[in-house]
Amino acid sequence: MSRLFWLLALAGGLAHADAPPAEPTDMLLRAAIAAREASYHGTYSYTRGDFSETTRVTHHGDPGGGVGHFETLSGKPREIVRVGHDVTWYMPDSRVVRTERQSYRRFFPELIPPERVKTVAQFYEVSRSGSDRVAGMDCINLLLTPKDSFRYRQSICVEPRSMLPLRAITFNERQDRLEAFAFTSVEVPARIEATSLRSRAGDVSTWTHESTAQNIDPAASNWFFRELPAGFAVVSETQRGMPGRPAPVIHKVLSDGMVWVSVFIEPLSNAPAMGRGLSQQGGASTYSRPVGNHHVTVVGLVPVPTLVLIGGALTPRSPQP
Amino acid sequence: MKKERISELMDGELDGLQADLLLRRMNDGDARASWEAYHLIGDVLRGDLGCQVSGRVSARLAAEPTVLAPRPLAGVQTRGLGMSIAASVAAVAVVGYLAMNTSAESGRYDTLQQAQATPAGASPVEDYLALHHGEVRNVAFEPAYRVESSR
Repeated sequence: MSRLFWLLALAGGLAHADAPPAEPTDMLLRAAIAAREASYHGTYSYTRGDFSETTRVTHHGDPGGGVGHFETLSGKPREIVRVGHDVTWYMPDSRVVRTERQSYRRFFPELIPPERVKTVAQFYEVSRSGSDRVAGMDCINLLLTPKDSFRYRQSICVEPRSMLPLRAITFNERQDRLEAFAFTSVEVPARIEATSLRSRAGDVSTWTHESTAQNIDPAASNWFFRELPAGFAVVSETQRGMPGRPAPVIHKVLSDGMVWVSVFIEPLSNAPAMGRGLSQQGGASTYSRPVGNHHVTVVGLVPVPTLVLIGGALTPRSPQP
Repeated sequence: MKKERISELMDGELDGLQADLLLRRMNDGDARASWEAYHLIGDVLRGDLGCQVSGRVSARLAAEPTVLAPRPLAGVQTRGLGMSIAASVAAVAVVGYLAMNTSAESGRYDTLQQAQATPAGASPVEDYLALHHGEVRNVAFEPAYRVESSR
């Protein structure tokens, strides 16, 4: 793909929001841009293994990242307001407000950052695969078939007028659904009222204010990967607390633009009740190994070899921390 | 040779430089057999049992029940958890097979472990999964850095 193509595709995506283009990678780019730059509100479900949750989303789009308001409709009441990368959680049951910079949470339908589509197209074959109907609207299925064994197949159904992704599914090698996001209803109104983007919690001055994670400059990190499976790069590193762990846990997040893999590093004194090796739960696989006097856990919806290679390549900067 | 490396990587015994070398050579033609063995482990973990677990491994498994076979938890519901006890036994067998092929003389396979299928919410894996997925059900994470309210 030439640079000119991508510039044209980007310009096309911004200028013409109707008339579905024929080129699948172009469609994927326009879907990624629409998820970030369109304004919409709707309700979506997320399922993984036996876990599911329903979320109402209101999104004001702009090229800078937009503002999103998310409210859970099932389970514990939670409100999340995202402005760019800054995320604020409101937990009314415990009267806690938590702020995070560079959130690790994935927000549907913003699954692929537009600037990463080019990378995604390097490692997945993007093709059209018929049409479907989601949330009462017809949509065109885009298949992302991995070109190697390091990642899983994805299916994204895109509404051709708004170019919004209505559904995203991850399949394993057996074509089982590992996880799925799907709108049950969605609208693209002329404008989003600013009030609908604010927390409904009202005055939270008496709530507990928390910040759970501290960003770590990758250059200053005590841990690095000698090499990674093709396409994967470290996108964030934070230090955070975990339930029942006396010492903070280092959380590195890696991505190929489409999927995320988490690497947790903690001292053996944290005594995580995990053996070394592989386990699987709720559609996600986990790989653990000790490195010196630390315990490393790798988690993600990727094939087992990817987890093992990422875990195996993690190295402490000398001297051993 | 390559299989030994794979096994050591699985066992967490490979240091970063060796893992690096293995990674570089993963596309070599002669690495294909190991690569396939690698995938076999994944297949078994996902419940694609097949008949790949050889009689020899099964016999060894029976001989080393306390080392290689996870003990089923009494009364644990295992269906629908993505991996049955039988599958996890087989996964241990495959991992054990790779290890025994290389390091049985050193007895290192006794360090191999396999997390058992456990009910959702009862496993330490859940903590990592919740953090990884950023789900809202387990949001009562203990804060590492608490900021006092200034408003």
